[in-house]
Amino acid sequence: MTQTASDREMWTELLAGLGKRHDRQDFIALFNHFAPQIKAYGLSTQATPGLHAFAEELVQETMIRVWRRASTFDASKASATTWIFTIARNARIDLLRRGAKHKSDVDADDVWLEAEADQQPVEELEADRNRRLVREAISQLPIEQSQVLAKVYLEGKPHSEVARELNLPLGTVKSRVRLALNKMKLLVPQ
Amino acid sequence: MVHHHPDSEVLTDYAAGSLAFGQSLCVAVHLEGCPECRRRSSQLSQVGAELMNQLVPVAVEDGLLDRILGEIDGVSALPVVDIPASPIEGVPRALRKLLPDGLDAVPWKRVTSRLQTAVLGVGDAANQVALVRIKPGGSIPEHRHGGTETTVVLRGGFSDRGGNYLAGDFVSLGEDDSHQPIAHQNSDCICLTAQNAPLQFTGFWGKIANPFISIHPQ
Repeated sequence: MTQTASDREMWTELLAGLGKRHDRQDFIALFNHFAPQIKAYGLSTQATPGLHAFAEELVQETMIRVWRRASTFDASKASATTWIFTIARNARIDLLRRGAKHKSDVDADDVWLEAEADQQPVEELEADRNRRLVREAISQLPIEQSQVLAKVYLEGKPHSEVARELNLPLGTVKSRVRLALNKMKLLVPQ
Repeated sequence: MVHHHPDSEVLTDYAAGSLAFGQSLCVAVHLEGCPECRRRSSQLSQVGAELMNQLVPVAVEDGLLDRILGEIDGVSALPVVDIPASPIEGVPRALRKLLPDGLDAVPWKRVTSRLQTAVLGVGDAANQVALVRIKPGGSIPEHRHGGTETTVVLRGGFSDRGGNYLAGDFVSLGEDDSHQPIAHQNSDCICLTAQNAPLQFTGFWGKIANPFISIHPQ
């Protein structure tokens, strides 16, 4: 599903507004747009029994967190899409850990959200440019690169597992991911 | 100033949420002291957001919205603030629930006169996560890794053939890497480590000194 830049700004404004006013109508509009995407993300999780129920639970957990945390959303630091992805990613980690009965006081937000929390605001033009580059590059990636990216991000498998599954050397998986990230002009560490 | 960073594999797996929990904990500690990697990680999250955005949306079940609206009715929309008012001295935020009383109150287990460890229960089935404390000038015997060993320095520093590592520095070693970390002379060195397989010590002394020989991932 493709969106124009102004669509994205609209969701970002709506989310920022939800944080300020906590209006249920704003929440419902965000739900109608993002819930089917979060569900698709949940369904792409590495196959677990009861995947459909898992995906529904992920939508519920993510959207409740969106409601609770909307006031911490800062439109100068992230777009709505990126912010909601990080919430969904963390919710998925917590649901999978809960499913595996991992008893611990530590949850995904301790390890992910906090670490990313104090980002410097990004210049709006630069942020738009980055998002456009990422979006365009993703839609034009060769299949072997997009396949590997999808396994890492959507199925939730680390590089090493992707390499085993595709029967490829780890170095090949790494270089495919790096080639893809280079096309997005991201700051890729060595 | 942090000098040793996670590589693109580790940072991408982290941003995707696919990196094991214990290793992710080490990355989070590094990010707290490294604005550059925080920025990279946030860009790598954008990639995940775009990938999610380009999936074909799947309709949710009827009634899900009503269930959620019913749930949030009683839920405060205020931010959930669970950060203690005064962060614990010397404890990174990612570890504050695991070390509520700080690094000096850790129940250390003696391995050798120069080496102590404390296993942390983080609920990671694939990794054993532990704190390691080396006395000034002390060392961990030369060892190889059966799997991946991820380390981030919390206090003090150590050297091995890869260089000098100080607070915030991150190092991930694979199964073919062998090293012998030696703590700097001026203070204790405390590190957080995540290991997904037992260490294999290469020398005679290693066999008796293996700090993790009797501990298995929980």
